[in-house]
Amino acid sequence: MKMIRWGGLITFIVIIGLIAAFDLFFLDTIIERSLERQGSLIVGARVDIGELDFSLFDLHLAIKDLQVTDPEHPMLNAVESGEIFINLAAAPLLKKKIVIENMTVRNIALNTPRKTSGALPPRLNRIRNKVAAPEKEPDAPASATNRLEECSLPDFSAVADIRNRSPEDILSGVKLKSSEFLSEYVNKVSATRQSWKTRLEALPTKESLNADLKSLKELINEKPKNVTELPGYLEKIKVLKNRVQSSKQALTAAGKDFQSDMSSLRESLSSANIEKLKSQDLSAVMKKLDIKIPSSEDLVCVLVGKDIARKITTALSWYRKLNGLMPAGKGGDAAEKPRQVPRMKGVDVAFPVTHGYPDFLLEKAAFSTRSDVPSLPEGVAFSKLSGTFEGLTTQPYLYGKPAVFNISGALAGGGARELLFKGTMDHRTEPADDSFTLSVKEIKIRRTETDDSETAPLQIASADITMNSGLKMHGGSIEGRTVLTVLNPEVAVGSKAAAFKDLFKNTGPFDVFISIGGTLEQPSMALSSSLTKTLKSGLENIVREKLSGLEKNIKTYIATRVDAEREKADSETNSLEKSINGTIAERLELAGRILKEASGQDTSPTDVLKKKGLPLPF
Amino acid sequence: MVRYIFKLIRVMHSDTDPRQIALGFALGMIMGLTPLTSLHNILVIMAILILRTNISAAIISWAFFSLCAVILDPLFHQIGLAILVKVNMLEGVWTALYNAPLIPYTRFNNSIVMGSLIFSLVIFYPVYRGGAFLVIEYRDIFMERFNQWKVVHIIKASNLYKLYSRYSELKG
Repeated sequence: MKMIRWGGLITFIVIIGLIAAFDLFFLDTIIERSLERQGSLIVGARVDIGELDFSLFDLHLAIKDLQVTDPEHPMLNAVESGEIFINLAAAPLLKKKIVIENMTVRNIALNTPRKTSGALPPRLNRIRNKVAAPEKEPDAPASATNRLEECSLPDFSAVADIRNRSPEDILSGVKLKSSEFLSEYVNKVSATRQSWKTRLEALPTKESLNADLKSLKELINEKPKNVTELPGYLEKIKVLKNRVQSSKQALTAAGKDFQSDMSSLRESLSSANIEKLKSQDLSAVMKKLDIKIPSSEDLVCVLVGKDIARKITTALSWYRKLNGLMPAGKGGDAAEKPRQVPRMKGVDVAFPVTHGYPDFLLEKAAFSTRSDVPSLPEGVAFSKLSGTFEGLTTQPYLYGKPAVFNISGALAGGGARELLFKGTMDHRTEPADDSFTLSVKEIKIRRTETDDSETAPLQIASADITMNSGLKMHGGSIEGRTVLTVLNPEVAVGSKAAAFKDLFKNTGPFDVFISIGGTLEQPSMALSSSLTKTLKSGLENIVREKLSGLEKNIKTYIATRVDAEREKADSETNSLEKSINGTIAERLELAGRILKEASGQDTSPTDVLKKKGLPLPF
Repeated sequence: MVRYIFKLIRVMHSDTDPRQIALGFALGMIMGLTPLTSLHNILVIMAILILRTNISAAIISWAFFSLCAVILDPLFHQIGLAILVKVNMLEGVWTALYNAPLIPYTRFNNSIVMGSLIFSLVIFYPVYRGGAFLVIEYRDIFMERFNQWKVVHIIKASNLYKLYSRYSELKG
């Protein structure tokens, strides 16, 4: 049997030839679709290429009209470039390694509008969710107060509405502590009255004392029949006298106790105490009105800090994406990538690249922007911008050099005189050591009336700003500082912050410092400014002025209500005092009279014998 | 596909060497079980076309094992991952291949490519031998009975079969 089928060999050659021819004819389209797809999966939004031309013989790639959508704003391109020229190295391609020897990017524009939405199509979105390793969630969400980009002004304009309401309306349904106290006080007086009534019933009564007096008088008139009855007679007087004496003592003690109770009651009803309660009531009512007073830090944050913080957050999110593509040290060469396996796709296991080139390397890129892009409200247009990027790679340890970039330029329309952005990303060893500096001189802000002055509570309408920013990343930790020097500021005040209009009338030059710290997963920003000191006293005056009338009205109304109740309480106290004191005094007076009469009697047997003329037994 | 089924039946009933049929079937199995776009399949196609294998058997085998692969993919993934990651002594080999020219284009480092290729290579010889044995057994035992089946008579009497036979005769 002949082993070789020559016809088959020819067929095979023809098939392979046809496949090669197909690839050559459609190679451009294949690369274009592949780049668009992979780029979209990395960015998380559509990456579109207008035209692609690949020359297989000199490995030269030309891309025209590249649009990279901003994932946060699908109707905006984060980056757009007119032309990209790429020269690939041939030898590394044999090892499936893409090494771009040099790349030139021309006519870059940032934040340009898109005609159609650049949101990721559902099919790609599903693939991205399945294939992409899940982004590490922050360990704990940063608290709202720490999130500078979310700072806002409390609605201070609500004060005007509150001021139009009457104090009766404001206080309706409000339980005043002072009123409650006085009501409790009146109840306490009633209870005291009741308890004293009971106690007075237990004490020697007027009737019992009168009976004692009557008994005494009878004894005085009565004569012992003989001397032998004298001791008994004297004993009776003594017993009576002792009883009245103890009655008097009990009544005196009761009088003292009552005075003590009364002084305790009167003390609690003291003017100082009532005034304190009224003051507490006023504070509680003001607190319940929930009048939110912005701090000077809030005002500065809303004015400039918020925008800067948002830009820093966006920059950090792009850095995170870039960081994921160029892992530090040999960490990227994990033998197994723990991720979900898409059906029929499997997992590509990465093995260490022991020598030669990294899987991807951009040795040198030079780029420049185009100047004819109109500036969007949120966008940035450059009159000139050019720079270089060197050593961008997926395996920095293998390349052996840090990635370095250097950008300089100026904003369009005199928006900024000079812009310098430099950075080094050293991912050769773990932990990664990156540093960035950004310096922008004379950013000219000139907002028109048609801008969103109605929706934004505070914004800089006009100013010349100089910005210096430095950021260092060591491993996952961030340390950085942004300094803004704001000259000739004019502040546009929206309706929400109308109350503070006067505060910003003659704002002088000021500085804003934003310090950046924390980790890449959970960055934190803090703001300080020389403007806060300037604003503080003015703000206090405005708040005092706005609140003073309102506070005074409420205070007066509380005083009127409480004073009437206090009068009632006073009258109840006086009535109690008069009633109980009167009763005790009357009884004491009676007891005193009995004792006085008793003390007028002879208590020695000889005196009685003499006085009564009793016959002596001897 | 119907054409290839008829062709295979004809070949089974002809004097074609059972080893040619079995080899075609075994090579088609490799193509079916492994991802079609893998580079090694060029070699398999080349072998099918150049060696005197039965192409109908290869095509039917490819179709059949492609369906099997859909079910077996998770198994291939596990096998591939184990070979690529868990066998420490092979790590040096894979690293060398990963850094060698052209080899990375074979996607050998993909778990399913590796798993399915290893699986199909392991069962290649048993399938080849078993296939040859079954062809011989079929011809010895079942061919006569098969021809007597009513279904076969119906198919042979059908217009489609007649049309196909005529087309085959004309084609020579």
